[in-house]
Amino acid sequence: MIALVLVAAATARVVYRTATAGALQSGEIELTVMHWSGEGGQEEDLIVQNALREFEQANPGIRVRRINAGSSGEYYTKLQTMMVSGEAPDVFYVGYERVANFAGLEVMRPIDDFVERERQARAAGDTSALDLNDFYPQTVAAFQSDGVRVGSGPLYGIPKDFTTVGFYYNKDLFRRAKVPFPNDDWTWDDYIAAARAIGKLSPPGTREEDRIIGSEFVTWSFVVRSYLRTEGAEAIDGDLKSVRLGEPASVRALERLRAWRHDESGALVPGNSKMASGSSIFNSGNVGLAGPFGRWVIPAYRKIPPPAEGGFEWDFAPLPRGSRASNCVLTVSWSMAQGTKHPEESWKLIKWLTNRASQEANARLGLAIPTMRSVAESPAFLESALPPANNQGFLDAIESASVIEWPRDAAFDEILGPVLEQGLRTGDIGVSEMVETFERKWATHTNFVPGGLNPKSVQWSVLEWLGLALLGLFAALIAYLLLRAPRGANARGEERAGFLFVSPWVAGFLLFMAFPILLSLILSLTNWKGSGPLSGADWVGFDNYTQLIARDETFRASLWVTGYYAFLAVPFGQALALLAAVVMSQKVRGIAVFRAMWYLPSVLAGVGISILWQWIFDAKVGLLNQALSLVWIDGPDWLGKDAGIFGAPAFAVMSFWLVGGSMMVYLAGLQQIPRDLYEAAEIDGAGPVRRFLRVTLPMLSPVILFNLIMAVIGALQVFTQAYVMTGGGPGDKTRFYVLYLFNKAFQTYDMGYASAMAWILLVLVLALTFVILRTSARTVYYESLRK
Amino acid sequence: MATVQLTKVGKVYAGERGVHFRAVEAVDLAIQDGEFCVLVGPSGCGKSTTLRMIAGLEEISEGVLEIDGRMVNDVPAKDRDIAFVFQNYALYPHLTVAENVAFGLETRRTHRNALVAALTGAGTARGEESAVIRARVAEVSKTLGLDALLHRYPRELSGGQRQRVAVGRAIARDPKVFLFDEPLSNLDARLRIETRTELRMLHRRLAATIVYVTHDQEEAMTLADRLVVMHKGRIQQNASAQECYENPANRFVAGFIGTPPMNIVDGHLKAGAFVANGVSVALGAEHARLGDRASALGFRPDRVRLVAPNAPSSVSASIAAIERLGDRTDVALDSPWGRVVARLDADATRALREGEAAGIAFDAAHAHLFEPGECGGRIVA
Repeated sequence: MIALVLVAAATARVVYRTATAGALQSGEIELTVMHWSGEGGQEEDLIVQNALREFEQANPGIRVRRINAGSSGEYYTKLQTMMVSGEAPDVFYVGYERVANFAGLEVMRPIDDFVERERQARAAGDTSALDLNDFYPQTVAAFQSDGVRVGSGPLYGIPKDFTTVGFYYNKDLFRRAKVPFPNDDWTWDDYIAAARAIGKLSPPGTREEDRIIGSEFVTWSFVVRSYLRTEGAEAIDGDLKSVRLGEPASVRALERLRAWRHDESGALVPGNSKMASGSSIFNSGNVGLAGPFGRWVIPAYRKIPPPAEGGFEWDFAPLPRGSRASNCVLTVSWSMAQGTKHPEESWKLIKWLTNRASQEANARLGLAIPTMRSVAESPAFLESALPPANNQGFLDAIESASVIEWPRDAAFDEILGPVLEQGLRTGDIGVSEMVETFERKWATHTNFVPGGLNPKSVQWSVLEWLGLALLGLFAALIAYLLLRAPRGANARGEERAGFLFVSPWVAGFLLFMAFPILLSLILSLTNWKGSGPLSGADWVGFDNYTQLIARDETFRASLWVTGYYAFLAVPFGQALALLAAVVMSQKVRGIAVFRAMWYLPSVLAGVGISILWQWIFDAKVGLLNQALSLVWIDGPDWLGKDAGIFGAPAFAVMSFWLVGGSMMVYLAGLQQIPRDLYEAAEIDGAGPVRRFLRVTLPMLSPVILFNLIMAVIGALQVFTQAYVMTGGGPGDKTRFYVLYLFNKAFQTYDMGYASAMAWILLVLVLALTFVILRTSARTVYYESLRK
Repeated sequence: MATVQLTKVGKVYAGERGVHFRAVEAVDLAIQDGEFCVLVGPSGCGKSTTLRMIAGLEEISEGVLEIDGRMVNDVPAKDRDIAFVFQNYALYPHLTVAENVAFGLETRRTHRNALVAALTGAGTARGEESAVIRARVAEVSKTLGLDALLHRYPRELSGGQRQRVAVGRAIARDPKVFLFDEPLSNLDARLRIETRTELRMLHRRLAATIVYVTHDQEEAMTLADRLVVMHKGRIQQNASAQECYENPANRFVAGFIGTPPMNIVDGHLKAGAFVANGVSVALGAEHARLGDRASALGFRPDRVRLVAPNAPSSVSASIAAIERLGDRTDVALDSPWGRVVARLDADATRALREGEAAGIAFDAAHAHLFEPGECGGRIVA
């Protein structure tokens, strides 16, 4: 039976393959290309599409299958998944920050041989050959890696474009504040002076949301690291091991940045508003400067109308200098998969996608700087009719710009990011605590070497045999059940028919449930990184579990916030659902409409709704705090600075919006209660309250128990809301359990670790369910069960 | 104990688009203290609605309801001091027998006492009340033979036991009026008859005012001091069971009361004889006074005699079916007057065979004449 399913699956796959391949004519080959189009949107998508079509026309015999994964975040999740399953695209985008990691994992093919061939061709007079010397050297170096660091080693891709960063400024506000426009050599003193002057433009008493603010300063980790470099400071040493965030120069720079935002009013956008932050705040016209951003914001900023149409004039200035000038190079390459079957054709395509024509098309879009110096310094890039006028500013910054190196371990950014957000944006911790937290967490992480220094490889063959043995045991059990105690032929036939009918389910269960569950149990005992084949995993025993339980403070924080949330959301949510059900069970005209209204939110729930709630909880302009201010309550910064206390309650309040599902179950339960009982109780002298307590509650107790268990499980699995609204921050204050699990699994690719978390959650859920069942046994009344 | 007085009581259900349904119309009923009053009628006749209006479970649309001389139209059910036994008993399934019986007593503890008890722990008030309740439960359970079942749950009881618990719950509170809504219909036939007798005895012992609803006319007759026959929302006859049997007020009552039901033949009176389908039977001199008119003739099966076919003053018929019940035999006959049932002494019918011809004769003195129509009134000769 099971073999049958496997054979069927394999056949289906072959058929599918044949069908899709059928489109190819004999002799044609197909290349898969994957990219994203985050900030560039449709235009970037179109440029890639056009370039590929032209490539196909120029190269008959090569077909290109294009995958646009959307945003860069989704892109890497998809790319890694494809790589793991051995279906990596032939040619794909790689951001500079992933180069060392991918090189170390050996998922990209070095292209030095091709580059050498191009060099020779060029020397022989072929002007169409690639001229790597024309590329900005920093961008080329970003894709050379020895697997640990970048800058040297084999070349893993041709940079397609890049950007430097700086501030976008509102010329109109600068004029109003009588501040000179920044030049390309301005300093942080110039910067803050301008921000302060602009911050004083609003007369006192201006409404918070209309107030003019000096500057938005984002605190993403690469931005903060660039900022530190302008003061000669670093977050991490060049060896990518020693943390330097606590050095005096770093601390001084961080303290200054923190003070600008939190010790002054009006200079920097305050940290307690989620709505008014990031690049979009600039569009409002109420912010003097916004940054440090690269060119990716330009397509959005170009939608700002000119002053005559109610907009404003704006331009760009590179990152101000501190004790020295510095900037960062953010770049993306076209790279080739290690396992591509068509390296020659892939190289042809990479060359095509980074050639002059493609670069010029990209330059006109304005999204990034061409990596070819000759294109960047040509009118195609510099002379655009559209703002910013100061395209030269981006190029001038290159001189002092370098690539920011990241440790291969993605956990570095996962730890640094939230800490910077807490210290520099929401401001709920000071710089010293920020530095300490980071150092402590990073140490905990780096000191954790699961499986020791010489871990043993996982003996997959043994496990495979074990799995087969289990399967055999299962088959034997069924055979035993079928053949046991000779009974009547009818009974046996019935039994066989029974097994036959459940067999699709059993097969599905084994294949799609039991197998992944068991695999995750095994993985929780390994250090599998989620990229690369399973055979690369090492056996680490219970190291993941001991690290989680004994040392991982984020794990503890996530347990706490999840428990806090469940403690609020489950009892109050269920009470509300029951109350709603009682009200909705009244026989009133149009009750169906009201019921639908209660249930509707459960249908709508999702990302969009989470964003709406983010607005409701916004500290400054959110509906909730505005409502509270009507009753003279100064609402907290729910999801920001005060998230430690108010974060989980905010999410609980949000969950009350979704009680419709539980309500429906209660409603069904209520309608099962015989009306006689209420009438009998009424005649027995019971008022509405007593009838509810003595009739409704006991009769509904099995339903309550069911809903309670479901709600507890649901509460422990909160994810989407937190992922969308806070991303777990500030710090770990809203990092719910499953969100942390997701971070570990799909952002730092600690699959083994994440599997261990999943199993701990499973045990927790089982234990809680068991406790609830046990403690409720005496209070729950089952009509159908004998005592 | 108390009297119950209904004056022009009616129940109107609002239907769609202003079409109203009158479930009960102009019911006048005076129930004496200690009286066992049975409302009987086919389903949909309004008897249950009337009972539920007395209980306070349905609002009274029109008329006046008085219990013990006090108008209670707008008094909530719990303040009418009545007890209600439901058709399916409505025992609280999550409570034991003892708790079920005590439920009404517990809820009637004064709120102040409950509060004091809650605040002072096991206060005297609570303790005393609990003792009183326990004693009362014990007393009731003894009366009804529930002692052995006190700690069981309803699901562990047989139908008859549940029925007794439901009665126990009703009598525990010692209400002014007991209301029973078809309390025996979920029991099997034998148990129904046993319980019927117990109820009758219980009524005598408690000397309680009881309003009892049933669709079973036999049950109604055996229990009732006063029988109220209802049909289509109206009272058809309100009298003793015997009176309803002997002198049915109209054709509906005549047909409804009595088993097997009365034979009723549509025809007309002509010169002191009843003619139907061309067959005429002389009734007697006093009927001649009634003149010639359309009417229906009724005679009970036990007043039928079988005579030789074509005997004078008889209707020729053939025996369609013979049902021998031991002490008596029911014989169904096909005749020009339609299907006629005769209830005869068993000894007299031993020789009868199905298919044989026979003559139907009846005693004119015990025959009834009704106006035509479903509820045609009785014509007194």
